[in-house]
Amino acid sequence: MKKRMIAMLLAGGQGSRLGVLTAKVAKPAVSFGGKYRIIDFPLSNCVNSNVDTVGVLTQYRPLRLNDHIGIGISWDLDRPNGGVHVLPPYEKSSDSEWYTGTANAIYQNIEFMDSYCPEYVLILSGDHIYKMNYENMLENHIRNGAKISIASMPVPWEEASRFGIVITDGKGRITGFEEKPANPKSNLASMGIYIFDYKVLREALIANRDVPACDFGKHVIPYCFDMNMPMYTYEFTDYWKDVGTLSSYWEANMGLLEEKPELDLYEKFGQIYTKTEPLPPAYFAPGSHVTRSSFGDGVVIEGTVDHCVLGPGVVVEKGAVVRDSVVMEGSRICAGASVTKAIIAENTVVGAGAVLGAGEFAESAYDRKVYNSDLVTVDEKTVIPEGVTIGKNTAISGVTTVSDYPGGVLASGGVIIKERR
Amino acid sequence: MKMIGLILAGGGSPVREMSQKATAALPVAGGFNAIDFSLSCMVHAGITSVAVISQVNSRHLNHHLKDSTWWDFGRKKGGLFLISPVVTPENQSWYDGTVEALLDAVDFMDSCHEPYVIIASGDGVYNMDFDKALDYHIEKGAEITIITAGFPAGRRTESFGQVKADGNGQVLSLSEKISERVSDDVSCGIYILRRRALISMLEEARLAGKKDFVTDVICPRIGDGRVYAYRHEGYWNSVTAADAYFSCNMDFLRPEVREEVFNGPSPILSKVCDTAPVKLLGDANVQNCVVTGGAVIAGEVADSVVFERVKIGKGAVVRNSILLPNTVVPEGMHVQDCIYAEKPRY
Repeated sequence: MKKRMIAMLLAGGQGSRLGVLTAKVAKPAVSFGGKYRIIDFPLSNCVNSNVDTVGVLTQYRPLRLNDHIGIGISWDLDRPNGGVHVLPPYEKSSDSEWYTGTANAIYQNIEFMDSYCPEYVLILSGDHIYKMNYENMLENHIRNGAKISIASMPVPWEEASRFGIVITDGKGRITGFEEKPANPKSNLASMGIYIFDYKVLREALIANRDVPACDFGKHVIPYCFDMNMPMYTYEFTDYWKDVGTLSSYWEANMGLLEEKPELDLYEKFGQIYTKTEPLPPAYFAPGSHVTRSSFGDGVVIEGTVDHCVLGPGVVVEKGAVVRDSVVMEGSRICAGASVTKAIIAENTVVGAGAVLGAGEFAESAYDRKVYNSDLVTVDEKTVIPEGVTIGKNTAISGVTTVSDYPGGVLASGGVIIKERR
Repeated sequence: MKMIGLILAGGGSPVREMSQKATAALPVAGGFNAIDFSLSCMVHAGITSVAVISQVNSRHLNHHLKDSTWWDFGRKKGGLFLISPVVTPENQSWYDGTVEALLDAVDFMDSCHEPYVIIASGDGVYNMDFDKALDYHIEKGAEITIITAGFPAGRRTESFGQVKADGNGQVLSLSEKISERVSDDVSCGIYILRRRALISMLEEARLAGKKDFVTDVICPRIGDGRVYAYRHEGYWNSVTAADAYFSCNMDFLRPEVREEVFNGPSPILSKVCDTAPVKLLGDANVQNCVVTGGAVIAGEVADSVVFERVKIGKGAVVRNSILLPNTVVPEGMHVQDCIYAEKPRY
């Protein structure tokens, strides 16, 4: 079955800087914006761009991701021809290996791509929050006579040294690259979204197959550039957020709560689809106090909620106060608890009267690369006992009891991770 | 797979100023259409073949049901069948009564092999276990089982068939739409029969020129002693009249009703409409409200049912009202004791 353009979505990464949030799920499967998961954005973009064949490459902790994608019904990607395909690494008669790099992962699925005889292949990652019409990018690709197009967006000059930068001739043709340059020559950051003429991609992947940990940014794109392939940029200026760290994840969620948010989930244009459970509507009880917040279906709010993103089925009991927090599906904040600046993953219970986010910031005693803000991060299916006090810049995972909190306190910068059987 | 389902969804909107939709397609309880309740209970009872018989303004109903995926129909075996009146050289009119409507489903029933049929209406709001009702039907050796419920508070007797039964469940009388209150139990319009028996009853009624399934087919058999009542001990209401539509929606502000209907035997399934999260802005004040996905609230709302994608502007005040899907309450507007609707469309 021939397809003009198919998409390959890289969803195998852990996203280790999200700490306990990605201890058990791959980053693309992490909840975002209350009822979505990160991967919903590229998947919905595909459907909204008439790309109806998507290979999703999984590797790290794929269970939640597989369950979420299923056969693609939620995105209308359950198709007799094409549709969504989950592509994990597989055993071969020789050279069996994991996906060792982004390009290596695509290389290992050449057979899959061949089966659709595509003219173009769209390479995406499951890590970013944005709405983009890939059809426009393809039009741009064809108009330019490009063999490779790289989506890029202007970033503030002072931040440009954090990104992979593309340099263009002013008409969109790429004349050079810089990886995290100290003195950037351009402020166009690569978004990790590529369109390749398939023939070019196939040839480049095969030519680089023996490169260890073969990566698009480090190997395949430079290879094509050296081969003098016409390479153009597609400039994108709308909302695009990397949610790879706890604070960027938190900020992106909070951004949705603006009266006129940069990312509008309510407009018809570029609608974002997700797997939805049959749940009753939200209920706000008498005496509840709720402002500047968003809610999934089935929530029951009896307490106070201000400036929060709450997922489906979340319960906030009487007297509980939740502020500046993200609370994911199925979690319960029990009576009288106080939660400030927390990210609480799915199906967690915060016991009655517990205080999260108390005191002042302190350096993390556990991992300063991951935990370096005021946020309290709580893993899924965690239990926080009644009455304990938890400081800022902390992480909790597992079923904890009062005995895990000496004197009823987890000081700022502290971590409790309990292994599960 | 012991039963097939028939849903009578022919009724037009009880409030024509509000909506021209078929009753079965009216939005109920935030995010659901009236027919979802009967349909979900059937799905939960393992019923895989269901025919929906519609008549008046079935467009919205058909649109709601077209992706039968959400109720897990659309399988190789069974499925959801939509039946509506067909104009032929012999028949130029709509269904002249429920007997004719059900006769239109005889072909469907003939093509099935399940021994029992459950007939329900598309306007009932409840969550019950049809399997238990079937067990009761079999255990009693009933010819017809009528499912009954307690008289819904505040409703008029004329809206219902009142059922009197003896201690053993045998029906003594079924008084359709009378003004006098004779019983605490009403018929839910849900019946269980053997499939073959139903087909012959319908054929017989057709030959005798009978029109109404309840008064002409069920009532004459009550004296035979094989018509039983199965009492549903729980919430039941129907949205067949304007006051009922209002009170039924308002019932969902009560925790015990939400608990029973939404956490009952069957999850209530509906078409997924991909709404964004509910959003409350800085000046919002929402008290005792059911709010459906995609709603954005900046005003004050109390004791109300807010449907999907409703927008409520700053300074607007809404009390004791139902805001139907996609409506906009502009800044500063006061809405009280209303069913707030868009201009009705066909």
